[in-house]
Amino acid sequence: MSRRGLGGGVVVLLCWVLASALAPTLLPGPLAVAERLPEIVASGPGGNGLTHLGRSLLRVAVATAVGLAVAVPVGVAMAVDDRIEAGVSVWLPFWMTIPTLVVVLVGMVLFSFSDLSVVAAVVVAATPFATVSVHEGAADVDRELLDMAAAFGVDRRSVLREIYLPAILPAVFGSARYLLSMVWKIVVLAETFGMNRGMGALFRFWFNEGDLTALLAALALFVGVMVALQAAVTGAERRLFHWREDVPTAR
Amino acid sequence: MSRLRIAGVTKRFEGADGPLTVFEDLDLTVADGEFVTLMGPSGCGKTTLLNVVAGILEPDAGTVEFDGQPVDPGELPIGYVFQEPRLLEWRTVGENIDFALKAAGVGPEERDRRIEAWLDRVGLGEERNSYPKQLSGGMRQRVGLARALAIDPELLLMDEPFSSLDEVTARGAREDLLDLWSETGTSVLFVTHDVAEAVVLSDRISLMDENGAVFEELVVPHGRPRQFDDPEIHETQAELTRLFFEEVE
Amino acid sequence: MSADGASRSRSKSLPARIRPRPATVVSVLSVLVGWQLLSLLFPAYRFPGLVALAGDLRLVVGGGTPFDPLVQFGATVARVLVGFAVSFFLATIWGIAMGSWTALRGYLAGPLFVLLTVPSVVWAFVGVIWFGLTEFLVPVFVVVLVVFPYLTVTIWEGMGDIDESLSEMARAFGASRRAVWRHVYLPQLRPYLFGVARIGLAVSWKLCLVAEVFGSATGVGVAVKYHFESFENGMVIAWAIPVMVLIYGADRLLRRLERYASRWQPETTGVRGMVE
Repeated sequence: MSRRGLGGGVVVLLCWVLASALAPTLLPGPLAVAERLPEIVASGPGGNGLTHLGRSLLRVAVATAVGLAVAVPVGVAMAVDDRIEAGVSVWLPFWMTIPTLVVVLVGMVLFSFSDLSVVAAVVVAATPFATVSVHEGAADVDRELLDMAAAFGVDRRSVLREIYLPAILPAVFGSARYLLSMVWKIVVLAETFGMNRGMGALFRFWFNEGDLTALLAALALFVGVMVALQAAVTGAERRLFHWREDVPTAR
Repeated sequence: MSRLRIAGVTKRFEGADGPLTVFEDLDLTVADGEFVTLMGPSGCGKTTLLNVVAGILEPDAGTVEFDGQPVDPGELPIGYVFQEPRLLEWRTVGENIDFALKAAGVGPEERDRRIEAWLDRVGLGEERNSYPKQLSGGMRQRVGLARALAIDPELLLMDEPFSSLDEVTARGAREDLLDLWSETGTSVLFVTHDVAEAVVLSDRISLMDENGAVFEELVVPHGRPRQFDDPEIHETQAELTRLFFEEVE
Repeated sequence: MSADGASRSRSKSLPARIRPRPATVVSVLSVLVGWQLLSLLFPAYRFPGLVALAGDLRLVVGGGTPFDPLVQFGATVARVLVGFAVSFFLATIWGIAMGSWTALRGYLAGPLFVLLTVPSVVWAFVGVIWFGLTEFLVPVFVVVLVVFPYLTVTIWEGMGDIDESLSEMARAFGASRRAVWRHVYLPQLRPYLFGVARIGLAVSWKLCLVAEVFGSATGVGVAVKYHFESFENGMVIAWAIPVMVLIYGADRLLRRLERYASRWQPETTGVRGMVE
């Protein structure tokens, strides 16, 4: 995976170099962007790059936590009770069509351009998707294992701990990862509308300046952190769920 | 005295086209230490019957008696080997057996001893800390067998346990099962649709038709240990096959 | 009530979704009541009640705002359709290519992953810096750059689920390449293509709106931004509703088609499963 990832990175870089060589005025090359990176990290409007990044990270963390806190109980309840499932699922196709932008703008005005605006917008826009993914995982509980436990007279608590929890946990992790990747984007979108700090505010600033090189440098910082974060979550997941790995039975 | 006596048991399901009777007024006995096989075509309700005995399903009528006493099947220490191994894939082999032992109320040291002993007896002594997905299908099925026997069951239920194994593996597994059975003296209620398997393993065979009715009972006349390729056994197999197909189209 | 056999079996064959289940009714009602209660907590311009919202909606559709509804809705819908069509077309080819040649996959997965992590606003910013304010270019650019990698990854995963033993069977019978695609690959990919189309359409609409805010002089996004800047939340929501309903309708239509296309899959009654 890491070797392939490296190969992929090289391909991206090559394409970038080639494109910027063809149209240097339109697309600054990787070197030009890299040169601006230290400046973006060390200084900038309304604080240095790390301040913006930290502010965004904090909002992402809080919004993801709140989103999970809603999604997990609702998702599990949907798996356990058909009526709850029916009640929630009526709304899902319609919910899919609610534009994030409208949620963000309404949230901004509703909570007067505060941190609460960002978190509320993210929770409204992203939680339903996380709920669905928890529900799918929890609905996956193997009925035959439940019968097996009944045959051996296993008590309810053990069944919850040994059968339900292991089935739900990967789903919770999966939806946390999913939620995280969505939350980032919504936070950035929200920050471009009337926030002074955060990566979104930084992107908007350089956009207003018309400075594409600086915009791409800020983007590089953002993407770098994102990729690292995703890799960390995936790594933790793999350690936690090592039993899922199929090992060939060459014995 | 019979270990297990099923008397007049009826089971129905609510289907889309009204109630569906799986079997009605069914009688069956298993004597102490006896190996009884229930043979029938797919879909005749063999698995449903095992699930009733195991206490997974409630019968709509009839009684299940154990050692002459009517019992609630849920209370009995019953070992169940399923068609698929039904292991917790997120637990090691040892922990899977521990899962059943804990439910049976066995103390910690005794649990540890039994896990060790039973894994050795089914030839998986080295695999205690492996995860099920790391094992072959035959090995997984043997974990299922060890789990069922480790709780020292009053009765062992087996639902076509070898049907998903290849013939060579299945033959080995059948020999192992007979060895374990003669060592432990456990009463066994075995379900299969394989005539050859039924004759090789059983003391007695009950034949079930598509409608869930037992239409014939046959005592297997061969002594033990049995040679799988004994021509006399082949003869019994042929006779049973004929008997079976006369009744079941 | 006398129900003869024919009419009973007829009513049974009707899908259950035609009769709304009580849970559905309770759910819809409680959301509406919840909305109304929530609106009492805020001033009307921040969170309109249901009646106020209906009034705003009438204003939007009737042309009682500085924007001509036909022009704005028309522009947005056209952009969504073009952006979605281009993404879907490219993603199908790209996804199948990635699924077919494993060697290619290693090199394409990385770039796609990077594309997926870039926030849509940044694409909108880059688009505006490059193209300025445009009718189609910026919105379609943003939609394609975000939706295309997403759809590609999903289709590629669908390719991974294809039952190779069936392709082997087809080859063993000497089926042509074309026949293998038509009868073996496509039927197995179809659920993914439908799923991807439904999600892709909804996402395209969301992205188009973001792109319009920054990179266009017409469209729902422009109207939404105008009302946002005068703090009129009711109008912001009212402008979004008609397109939401349209996209919802398209989604239901695709769902119907999907059901029809997978009619060979029997509906499970569950009884059989319980017996054996």
